[in-house]
Amino acid sequence: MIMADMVKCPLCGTMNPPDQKTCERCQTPLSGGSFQTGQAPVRKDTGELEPILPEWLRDARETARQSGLDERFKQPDQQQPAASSADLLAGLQSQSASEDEEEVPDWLASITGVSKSKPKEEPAEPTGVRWVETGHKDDFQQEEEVPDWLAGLQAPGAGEEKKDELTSGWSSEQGSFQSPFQSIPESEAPFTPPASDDTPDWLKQMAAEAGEVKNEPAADSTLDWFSQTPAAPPSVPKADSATPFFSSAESAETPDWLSQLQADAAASSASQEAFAAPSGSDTPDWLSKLQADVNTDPQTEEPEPESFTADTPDWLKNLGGTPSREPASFVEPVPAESEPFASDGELPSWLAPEESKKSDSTPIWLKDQSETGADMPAWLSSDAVAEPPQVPQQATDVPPIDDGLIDMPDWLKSVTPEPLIFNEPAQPAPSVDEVPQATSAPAFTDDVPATDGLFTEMPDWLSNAIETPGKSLPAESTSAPDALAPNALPDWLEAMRPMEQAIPGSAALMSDQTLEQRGGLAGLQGVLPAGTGFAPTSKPKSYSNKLSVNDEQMKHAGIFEQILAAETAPEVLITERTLGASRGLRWALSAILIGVILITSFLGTQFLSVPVGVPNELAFAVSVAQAIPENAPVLVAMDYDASRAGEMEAAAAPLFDNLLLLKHPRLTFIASNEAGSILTERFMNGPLAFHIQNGVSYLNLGYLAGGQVGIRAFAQDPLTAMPLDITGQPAWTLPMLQDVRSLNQFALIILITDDANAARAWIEQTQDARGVVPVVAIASAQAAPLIQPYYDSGQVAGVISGLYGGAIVERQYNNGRPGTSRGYWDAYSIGMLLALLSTLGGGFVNWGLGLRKQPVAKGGK
Amino acid sequence: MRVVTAVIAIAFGVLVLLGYFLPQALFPNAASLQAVLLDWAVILAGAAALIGVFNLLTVHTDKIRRREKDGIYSAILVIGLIAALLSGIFLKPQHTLMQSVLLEGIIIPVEASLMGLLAITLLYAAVRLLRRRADVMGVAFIITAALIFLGSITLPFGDLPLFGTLVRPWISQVWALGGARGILIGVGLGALLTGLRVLFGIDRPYGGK
Repeated sequence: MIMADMVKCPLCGTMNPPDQKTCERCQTPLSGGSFQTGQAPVRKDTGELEPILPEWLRDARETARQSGLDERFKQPDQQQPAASSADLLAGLQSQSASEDEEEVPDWLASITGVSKSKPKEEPAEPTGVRWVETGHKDDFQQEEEVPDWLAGLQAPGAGEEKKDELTSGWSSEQGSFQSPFQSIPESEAPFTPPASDDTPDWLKQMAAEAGEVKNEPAADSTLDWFSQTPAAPPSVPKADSATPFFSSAESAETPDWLSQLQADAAASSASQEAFAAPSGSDTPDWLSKLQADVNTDPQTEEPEPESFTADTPDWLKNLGGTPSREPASFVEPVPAESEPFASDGELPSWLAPEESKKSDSTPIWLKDQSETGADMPAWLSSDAVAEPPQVPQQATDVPPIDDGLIDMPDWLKSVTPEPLIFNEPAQPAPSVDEVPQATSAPAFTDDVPATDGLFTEMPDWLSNAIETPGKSLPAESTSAPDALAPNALPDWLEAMRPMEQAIPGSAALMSDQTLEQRGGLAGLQGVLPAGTGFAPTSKPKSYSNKLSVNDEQMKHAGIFEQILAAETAPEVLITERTLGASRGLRWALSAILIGVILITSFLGTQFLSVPVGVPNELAFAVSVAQAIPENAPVLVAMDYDASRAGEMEAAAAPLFDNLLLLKHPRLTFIASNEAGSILTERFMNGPLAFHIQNGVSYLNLGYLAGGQVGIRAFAQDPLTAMPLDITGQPAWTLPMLQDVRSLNQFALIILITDDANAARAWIEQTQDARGVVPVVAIASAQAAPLIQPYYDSGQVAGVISGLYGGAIVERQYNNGRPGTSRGYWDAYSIGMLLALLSTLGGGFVNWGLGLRKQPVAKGGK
Repeated sequence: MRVVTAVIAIAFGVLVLLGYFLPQALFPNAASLQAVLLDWAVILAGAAALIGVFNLLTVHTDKIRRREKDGIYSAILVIGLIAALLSGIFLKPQHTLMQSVLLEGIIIPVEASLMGLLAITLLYAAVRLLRRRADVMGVAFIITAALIFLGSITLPFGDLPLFGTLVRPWISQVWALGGARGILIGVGLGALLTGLRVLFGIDRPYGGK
């Protein structure tokens, strides 16, 4: 098959054939109709979803569909039990039927009555529990295969013994009552109820009560299977007549008593038909037949003790008493008001759930017995509360006998379920003497062979009734006899419970039936008793979370809190008050200075005298400059900034004017700063423009890079350091530098600078190269003090200091030419005077103000 | 790599220093070698100035491109730099346009204004000096300044007697001169020590540890 044709399962991803509707692995529908995540729900027909149902559910649906409600009881063998969700065992059974035959546990087989060799061709077979509890007409009918419980009853030898046991169990009490089911495993013989033409009274009574009950208890979810379709045991033979238990065709194999019942039922089939019709579809045929039998001839079928055959079990004989042949149900008795054969399809009352049952779970047949009094078996009588029967321990899996099972037939006692811990303490079993003699006719005739499988293990319905003998036996006629005990487990769970005999010491444990009254184990039995004093005698004392403090402690806490707050509170630091900038004072000073200076400059006043005294350094500078020969090369270093151009030009112009007038030197300008070359042009074309106009020329070498290194390089080899002038022409071939090849060939070096470092660099770097060439420094008033040491050391010949020196040279040596210094002097002097006054006056004023605020600041601290 | 740079720096420094101490008569090549190395230094210094100009240009250009704050000033700087460069190359410093516009119109007024502002600021600081710091040194400073001021100004009839001829020269020739001499000595010694440290490889201003 091509992989492309395969269909992938959306759930597990398994590849399935295209024609497959459901996944082989997870049974998920493969069609597009499957639900995807996020997909909105689509309304679908539930019939389309049938393929996804479990197989056992499908079978049940199909069966229900085929048979119909009305035909369920009529054709129980053809009908399949409704696959109720409550009957989990039924589902398992139905599923297992389609699978390979699996190993059925013995205990399950014994309960359900399903034989291991169940034929496969049969449809979904109901479980043995089902057919037992539903009271199907074929419950006790055996076809080809006899259930174990029923097969055991068919043993010829054992049948009589069984019958005897049953009979003796009802009639005589030797001080020990054995479960009717218990005896069966021992003998390994099927139970053979005594054949009798008369229906046992208890059976008749059940049928009569069932006919009275109108209302079916609410169908429990767990017993929906019962209300649906009673399952027909696979081995139960089909009944031609509405015989509750037997089939005439099985007379050869069925116990005599069973066949007898069947015959009786057949006689009253007509009435039972009428009775069964309104009963509804859920009434087992066998039960309906019993009713019919009872209705038709309740008196004639009254069994008698001597009418019991040898096969009739004792209990059945005892049950007979005054057999009224009432079609009493063999299953758990139903309450009076319940209708086991209701036509509405509801659950028979005797199989109704616990909550729907009355407190009185006295079976109908038991109630009748109690009412009649004489016919009630001793083990079922209300007064039959005796001591716990001394049940001999069986090697088989027969459960121990409850206290209320003393009067129980042996076959019934053998399958007595374990007493539940939730049950009330077992009531003391009725004493042996209290057990009434079962003088009535046995429940089954002697001719009816006992079915071993039926009584191998006590049905749950009967065990529940026996477990609560205290509840069911008391004379509460109005209570529901078939009501389950409050703490009774479901049938299927009860059947699964392991036998206590397999548990060593279980009997001993079972003996402790102390019911806990308090604590977490209240209501339980058999728990470890709490020691005295272990249980809390009183409610534990509760302690308050609040801190209890008195007033004094609160005060201390408050003080402590204040201390801590004081420690963590930020403390303002006392810092000196910063003196803010006084914009007013600044503006005032600016205005005064600018105004006075501008006015003085514009007015050109010259009322203040030029300094008269001539400093020595100035005198020497002038004398050295005047000592050079005429037309001598003079190197001029222009190393001042444009900001001091006015002061420097004013200071240098008188000397240069004097040299140009007297000595006509060949000026060569060089600058070690970037603005020197352009300042040179301004200097020559400004204050000395007269001389330029008169044909004086000069050479501008331009900018000398490198700082001190450049000066050093120039000093060592001027031609290499500065080969070109500012115009790009070879400087050292020009007439201005004719015959000049080294620094020492200059006649004079004039250093014009406002920076002491530049002056120092020129002086220090050219010292070796210039030899005896004098250096005259024209410096600003700021740099002059730093150049003075060089003057004192003889490295500099003279120093002209700022406007003060220029003014002196101009007045003293140049006859007032060019006059720049004289023009600045008044403004300069007035400015200086104002500065003096501002400094002195304002300083002392502020000093006083500061002194006055100091005590205030100290006081603040 | 750090060792190589240190070796080069130390070697050349020693060679230049030897040119000062070795007699030229005995070691004529020392002087010439010193001259050569110094010429190289001049060239490198000139190149460094150009690199500085280019770096300045790059920084401000990038500032303009990123549209950072005060980018307009960077734009003005770049424009002025380019204009001055081009005018100096093509017009020459003695060109009237260079003189009148660049020098007279921009450089000198700007720098002179800053100098004038400095004067006002110093005067203002002198006025408020005693209020902020009323101690001996503050008073001494004020008194010294006042004396210098008095020695610098003249009266209509001439210098101020005593201040112009005695006090001022004594302050400038003695106190100032002494201080200046001390400064120069300290500077000289510092320069010597710095040079020795470079020669010994203790200081590496050229990079590396």
